[in-house]
Amino acid sequence: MVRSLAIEMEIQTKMKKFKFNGLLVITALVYLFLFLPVIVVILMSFHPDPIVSFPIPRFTLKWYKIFWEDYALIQSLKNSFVLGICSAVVSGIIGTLAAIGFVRSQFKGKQIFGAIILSPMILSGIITGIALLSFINYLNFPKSFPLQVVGHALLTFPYVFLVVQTQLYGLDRSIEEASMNLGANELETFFYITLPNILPSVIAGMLFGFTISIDEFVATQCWVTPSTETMPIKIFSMLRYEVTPKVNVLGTIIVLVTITLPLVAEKLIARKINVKLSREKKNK
Amino acid sequence: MADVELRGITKKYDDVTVVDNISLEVNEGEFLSFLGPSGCGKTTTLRMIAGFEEPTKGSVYIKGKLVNEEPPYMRNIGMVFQNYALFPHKTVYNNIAYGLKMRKVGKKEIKQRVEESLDVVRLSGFGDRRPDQLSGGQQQRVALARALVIRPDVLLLDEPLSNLDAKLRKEMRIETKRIQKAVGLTAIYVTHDQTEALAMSDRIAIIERGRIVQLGVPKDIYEHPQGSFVASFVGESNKIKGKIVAVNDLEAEFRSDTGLIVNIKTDTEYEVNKKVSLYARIETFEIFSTAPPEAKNTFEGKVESVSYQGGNTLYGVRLTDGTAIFVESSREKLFGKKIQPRSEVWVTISPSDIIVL
Amino acid sequence: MQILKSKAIVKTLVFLRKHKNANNFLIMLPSALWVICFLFIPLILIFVYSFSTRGEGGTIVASYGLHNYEHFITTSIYARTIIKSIIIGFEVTLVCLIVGYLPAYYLARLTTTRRVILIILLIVPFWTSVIIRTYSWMLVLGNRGAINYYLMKWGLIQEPLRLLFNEASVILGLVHIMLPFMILPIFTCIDRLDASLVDASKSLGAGKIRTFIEITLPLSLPGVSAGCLLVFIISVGAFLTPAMLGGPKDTMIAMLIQQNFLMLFDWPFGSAAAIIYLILVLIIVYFFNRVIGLDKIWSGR
Repeated sequence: MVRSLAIEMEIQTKMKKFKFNGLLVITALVYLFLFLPVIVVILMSFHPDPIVSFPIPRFTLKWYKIFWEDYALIQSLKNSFVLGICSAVVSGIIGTLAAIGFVRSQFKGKQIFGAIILSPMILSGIITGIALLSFINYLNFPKSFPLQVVGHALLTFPYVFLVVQTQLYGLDRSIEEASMNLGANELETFFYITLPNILPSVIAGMLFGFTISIDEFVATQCWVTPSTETMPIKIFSMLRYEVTPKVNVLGTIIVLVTITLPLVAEKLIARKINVKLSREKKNK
Repeated sequence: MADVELRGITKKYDDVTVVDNISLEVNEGEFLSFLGPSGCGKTTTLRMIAGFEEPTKGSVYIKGKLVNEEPPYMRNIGMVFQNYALFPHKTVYNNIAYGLKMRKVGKKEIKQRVEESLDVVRLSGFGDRRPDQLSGGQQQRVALARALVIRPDVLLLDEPLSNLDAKLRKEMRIETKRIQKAVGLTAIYVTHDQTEALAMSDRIAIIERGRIVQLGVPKDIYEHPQGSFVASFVGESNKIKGKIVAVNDLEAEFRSDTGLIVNIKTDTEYEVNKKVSLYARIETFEIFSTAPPEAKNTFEGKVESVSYQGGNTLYGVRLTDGTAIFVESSREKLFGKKIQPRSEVWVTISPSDIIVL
Repeated sequence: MQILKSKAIVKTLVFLRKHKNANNFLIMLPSALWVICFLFIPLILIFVYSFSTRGEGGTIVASYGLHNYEHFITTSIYARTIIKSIIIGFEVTLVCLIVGYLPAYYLARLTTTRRVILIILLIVPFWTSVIIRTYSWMLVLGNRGAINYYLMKWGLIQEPLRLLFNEASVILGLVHIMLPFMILPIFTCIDRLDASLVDASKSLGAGKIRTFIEITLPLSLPGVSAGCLLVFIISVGAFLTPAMLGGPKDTMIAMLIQQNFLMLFDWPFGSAAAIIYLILVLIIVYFFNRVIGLDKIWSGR
C-alpha cells in the first residue's frame, strides 16, 4: 500500500515536471515560430544568392552596397524617418491629453468616448486612408507631407493614449493636490508634477507611435506622392516588380532600428535622470 | 479673531449629505482635532478648508478672509496628507523647497529656510535623499517640513500617523505636537484614533455623520461626554440600561433592567422612573477577592474571561444579576491567588465615576 | 516657466475650476476633434459617395441610388470577399487562440527574470514591420524559398511545392502577425488573477487539471474574449498579408476597397464596399457587447 503510494507520488512529480516542461516546450516553439522568418530575412541580406539556402556559402555585403546606391530607396528611408518623428510628436501630445482627460473625468458618455479614440486603431487602415483622401480631394487640397503627418498622428495616437492611461491610473493623485496646496496652479502642477511622473509612458507611447508610423502602409498608400514615398510603399512596389535581395537589406535595417530604438531610448532616459540628480546635488 | 472659522458648512454629493451644517472657530495657535469614525465627514470638512472641495452651503474664513472662491493654491495653508504625497521624482530638499519656489522666494533664502525646516523635524542632512529611500516616519517628517516651511496661516493634517506602526506613532505624536507648539502654528488634525486626539489636542470636535456632536477640551470630552455616541466612542465603557428609582438631591439610586442597584451622582435632578443609561469606564472599577468594607456599589460576580494586555489585564465578569461587564485592572493576583476564570470576585465603582445619560 | 503664473492664465484657470467637468472635457477635446475631423466627418463623405455614381475618368457624378450596393451584393465575386474575410477572420482567431493560450498561461505563471525577457521577446515581433514579417514568409514558402530548397535538396520532391498564394499561406501569415495580439490580453488577464484562488482550489483537493478547468480557465475568459475580438476585427480588415501572400481567390474586403480607390478609380463603388465593411465591424462589436460585454475589456486592460 505504502509502496504504491510512493510510486504514485513519483509519477505525479514526474508528470509535474513534464507538464511544466511541456508548457515550456510549447511556448518555445511558439516563440520560434514568431522569430524564425525574420531571422531568415536578416540572414538572407548577407547571402550571395537570391535563393534561400543554408548554410550561407559566403557572407557578403554586396546587397548593402547596392542598397546604399539606390537613391530612391534611401530617400524613402529619410521620408519615413522624418514622418515618423513628426507624427510621434503630434500623437504624443494628442494621446497624452486624451489619456489625462479620460482618466480624470466621470461622465456618462465616457465609454463611447473611449471607443471614438480607439477607432483609428481598430478599423482597417484602408478606411482611414480613403476617408482622409476623399476629404482632401473634396476640399481640393493637394496631397502633401502635412497630410501624411495628420493621418499618421490619427493612426498612432490611440497607442499613446493606451500606454499613458495605464500609467496614469496608477498615479497617486494626492501629489497633485499637494502641489496645488503648496501654491502651484493646475498648469504648473501639470508641468512640474504630473508630466515628470508619466514621462516614461509618454515617451514609450511616442516610440510606439514612431514605430507604427515607420511601418504604416495601408492608409499611407492613399496619401503619398512620388516624392513623399515612405519605406513600406517602396518595399511593396519593389516586391511587385522585382524580388531582389535589396528588400532583405531594407528589412534588416528596419528590424534593427525598431529593436534598438527602445533600448537606446531607455538608456537615454536613464542617463537623463542621473544627470538631473547630480545637477540637483550641485545646486545644493 | 479666529484663525479659521467655519459657518454652516454643508457638503452634499447628489442626495447624500456628508457634512451637515458645521460651524466652529479655531483660535490662534490652537491644536484642534476632528475626531470621529470613518466616513463621518471629518476629512471632507478638512478638504473644504484646504480648497479641494467646495462647500454646498456655508462659508470658510481663514484669518478673517472669506476663501470659498479661492483655489487651494491661493490659500496660505500647509497640509500633511495621509500618505504624505511626497513628490517621488524630487529629492527631499526639492520637495520642501517646492512651496517656496512657487512663492518666488530667492535661492539663498530657500536654502536657508529649507535647512531650518529640516532641522525642526530633525532630518538635517537628508536633503539629497529621495522619498523612496526614506522610512515611513522620515517621510512623514518631510511632509511636515514641507508644509511648515511656507509659513502657512493654518496647518492641516489628515490622519498623518495612521500608516505608522504603534510605537512610531506614539513617538511621532509627541514630536508633531512639540513642533506645532514650538512654531505656534494653528493646527487642525483629523483622526479616528481617540488616544491620539485626547493626547495632542487643545480642543476636540467629535463628528458623527457630518455633525459636530461635542466640542470641548479633552478632559471634558472624556469625563463628561454628551450623548451616547460620544460616551461609547471615547474610552471603553460598560453600558447599563435602566431607570432612576430614588432621588436625593444630586445623588440617586439606579435600578438596571436586570435588577442591579447602582448609586450614582448626577449633575441635574432626575425624576423617579426616568429611563437612563449608565456608562462605566472599564478602568474605573476596582476588583477584590472578598467583599470590601465600602458598601456602596459593590457587586459580586464570577470571572468569565481573562485577557492579558501587558500593562494590565482585561477581565470579563458576570455579576450575580446576570449583567456582564469588563474591568481593566493592573492586578493579576489577589492575596497570592491568580485571578482566573471562575474565580469569585467583588468589583466596586465610585458613584462619581459613573456617567449618566 | 514663469508665464504659467501670469495673471491671465490664473484667471482663466480659476474660471475653469468652477466647471470641473468642462475642464476635463476641454483636455480631451483635441483628440476627439482630431478623430471627428479627420475620420468621422470624412466617413460621412464616404457614405454619401456610396450612393453616387462613377463618372468619366474616375470622377464622381451626383447621381444617387443604391446601385453600388446592389452591384456588390449580387455580384458573387464581391459578395464573396466579405464572406472570405469573415471566414479567414474566424480561422485566424481560432488558430491564434489554440496556439497562443498555453504560452500566455505559461508566461503568467513565471515569476523569474525569464518572464521579463520573454515578455520583451513577445513585444519585439510586435514592433517589427508587418511588411517585413509578411515578406519573410515569402522567403520561407516561396518557390525559391527555404522549405522548397530543403525538400528538394533532400530529394523528397522533384518540383517546388506551391505553398504560397493560397488561403493557407494567408492564414499562416496572419496568425504570425496576430499572435501577440492574442497572447498579451490573455497573459494580462491570467496574470491579474489572484494566485490565492488557485491555491485555495488545490487545498480543497482539486488536482492540477481540475483546478485549471474550473478556476483558471473561466477566469481567463475576459482576456480570451478581448484577444479574440481584437484578432478577429483586425484580421477581417487586413490588407497587406492577404495582398502579399494570397492568390486571386483570396481577395479580402480591404483589398477590394483599395483596388477601387487607387487603381480602378471607382470611388462610389469602393465607398459602398467600405460602408459594408463598417457595418460588419459594428455588427461584430454589437454582438460582442451583447454576449460578453465591452466593459470586460477595459477591466482586463
